[in-house]
Amino acid sequence: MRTKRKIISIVVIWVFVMGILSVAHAEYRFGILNATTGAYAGLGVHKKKGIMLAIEKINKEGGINGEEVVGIYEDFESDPSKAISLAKKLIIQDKVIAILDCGSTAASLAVKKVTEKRKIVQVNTTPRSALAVDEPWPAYYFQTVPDNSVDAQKIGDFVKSLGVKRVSIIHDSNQYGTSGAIFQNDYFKKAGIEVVLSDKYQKTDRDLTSILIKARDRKTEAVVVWGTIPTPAVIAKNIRQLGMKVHYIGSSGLGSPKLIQLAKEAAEGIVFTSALAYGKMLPNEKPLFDAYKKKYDKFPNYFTALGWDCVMITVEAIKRVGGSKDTTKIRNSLESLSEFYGVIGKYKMNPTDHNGLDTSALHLVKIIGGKWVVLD
Amino acid sequence: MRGIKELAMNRNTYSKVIDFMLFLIIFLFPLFDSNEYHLDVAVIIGIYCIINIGLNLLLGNTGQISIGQAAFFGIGAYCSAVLTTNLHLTFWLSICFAAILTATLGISVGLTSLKLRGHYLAMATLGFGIIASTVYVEWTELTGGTSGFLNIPAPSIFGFQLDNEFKYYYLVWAFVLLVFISTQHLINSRIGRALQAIHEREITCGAMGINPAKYKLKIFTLSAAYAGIAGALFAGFQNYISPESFSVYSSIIFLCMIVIGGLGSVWGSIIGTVILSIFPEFIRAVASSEFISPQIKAILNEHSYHLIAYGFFVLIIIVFLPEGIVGGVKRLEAKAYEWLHSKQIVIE
Repeated sequence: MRTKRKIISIVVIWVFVMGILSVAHAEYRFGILNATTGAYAGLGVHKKKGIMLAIEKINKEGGINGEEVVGIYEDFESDPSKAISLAKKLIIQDKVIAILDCGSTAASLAVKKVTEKRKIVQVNTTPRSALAVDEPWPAYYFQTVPDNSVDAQKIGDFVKSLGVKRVSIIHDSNQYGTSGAIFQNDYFKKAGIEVVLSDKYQKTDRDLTSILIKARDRKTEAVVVWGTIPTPAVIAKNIRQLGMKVHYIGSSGLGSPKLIQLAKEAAEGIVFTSALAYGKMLPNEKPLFDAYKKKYDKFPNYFTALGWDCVMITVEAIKRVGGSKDTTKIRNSLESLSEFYGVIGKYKMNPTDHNGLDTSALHLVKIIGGKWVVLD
Repeated sequence: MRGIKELAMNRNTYSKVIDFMLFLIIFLFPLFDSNEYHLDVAVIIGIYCIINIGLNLLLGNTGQISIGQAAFFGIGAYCSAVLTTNLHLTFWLSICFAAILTATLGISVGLTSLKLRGHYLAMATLGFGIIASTVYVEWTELTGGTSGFLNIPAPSIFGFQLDNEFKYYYLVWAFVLLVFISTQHLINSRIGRALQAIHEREITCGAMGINPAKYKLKIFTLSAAYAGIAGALFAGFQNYISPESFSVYSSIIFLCMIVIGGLGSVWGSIIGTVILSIFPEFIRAVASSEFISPQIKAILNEHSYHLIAYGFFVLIIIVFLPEGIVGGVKRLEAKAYEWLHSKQIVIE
């Protein structure tokens, strides 16, 4: 009996001491809401690597005013309603001062209600919906990815420069692809280029020959694809199988090494937009490339950069208000964050634009000989 | 003899007292734990309980399997979302419509598929689940497709907004109580005994004057309506719904919950739901606690370890408690009862 009592008292004391230690530890807590399982896992793993590397780098350089940055990670399994619950968990239980990533446009929008209500900054890596573009930016909602309208403009300018008159738009049925296609249609209408076909596919589709045959019959000269890997690789293969001689232009969602791995020689000649200028290292991209090379011995991709920038702009905003943990101050600081170079580009935020990137942030990449070559 | 009868009567009142106590604990819970995240999890558990009580009635009591329960859940949710957001009806009307719509669909699906048995019924309901998932994604004008349905208003009673976790907790668990009492009564009535008979010997039932087809259809419809009500509650709580929440995977999780809780028992549905919903939270708490060193934490963070632990946990329960948790408890109880009984006789 006595030993039992002793054990219990030791356990109680230990728990108590641990409790005190964890309270006494001052740190900046960021919630990372990311999907490494489910439909968005393919992008999620890269974003997560970027976020973790950035936090590692910040801490190695002494954190913020000597205090450590701690990333509390949650996987929402690509289910937006799970993201809502986890966002509440991060804010209420873990007391984070910002939520980063949010994985998919649907999840960002779902989480928006929670972050706005509890006045917590949400810095996501997903483009805003085309449906919400006319609405003002939600107060606590920021993003590191260029808006789809910017991407559509970059693609449109390139298609125009090719002198193409008839194009087809094929897009993912998700929020990203759909809103991209809306912007792309608008651009071509204004530029006087005829859109002969605009069709969507499911992420799980493994053959798109039927859509492409329609495009071929309507004598399309270029195919613009709005989507994320793997399906754009399927489209590339199908184009080759059908023997179509068309220009293949893709959105930033194509920027993954998997494109070449999956499509193999069919990937030859594909042009897509990318925020990273591969092989033409810009000074603002160097820290990420160095850190990534050191840890994984590879080049980072677009999504890693998005994750990295999420952390960097949030930390920069906190530093600019003297390391304050007041979420409203952080929000105001983020909103006035201009002249800051992230890996993606130069952020010029203001109350009417919580993203602040323009076409100068994007580059055109062409696949030549199984390698990515920057065109501009 | 008298002793046994008394004990049996005592046992009945004793189980009622336990029901009362457990619900009392459930209703007092928010007063002791005001952590909104815990309440959030508890609300979702309550919503799943409503579905699972219906599903358990179907599988545990009647012996008919359904892998399409999440489809009814989703239809209820989208029905309520469309009615309250686009047509500006009140939440209460929308929940009635959701129940009616899912019940009607339940009848039409049941009429065709309940003629099938065992694996074939499972296949048919699975097919229905897949069709429903496709409709949520493709009918973009109505459902918002993969981007989901945004800005669903929170319900209110007499102008009193149910807009936080605390208030919603009571709404959802009041529904659970309602469903619990009605199902308990149903099981203990003539219908309940007929269902049990259908479960055991369907052909004999037909010969004894019980129409199995009619009863099966009724129960299928009822369980669909329960799922519809749960869907409406879910939409009102999350203010946002998307097809991912109503996938076939969710249907399978619901089945897991009732199998682990205990088939044929209303408490089994509730306990199974609570345990399978809380377990991921428990692993999360352990993984982020101070007792684990940062190195191990980093490894745990790198991979989706919780899914492995979850699977392992389910496996262990199925291996050691094949009749579910409630079944295990009942077995223990029976042993204790036997022991008590033997003592009683000695005393007499």
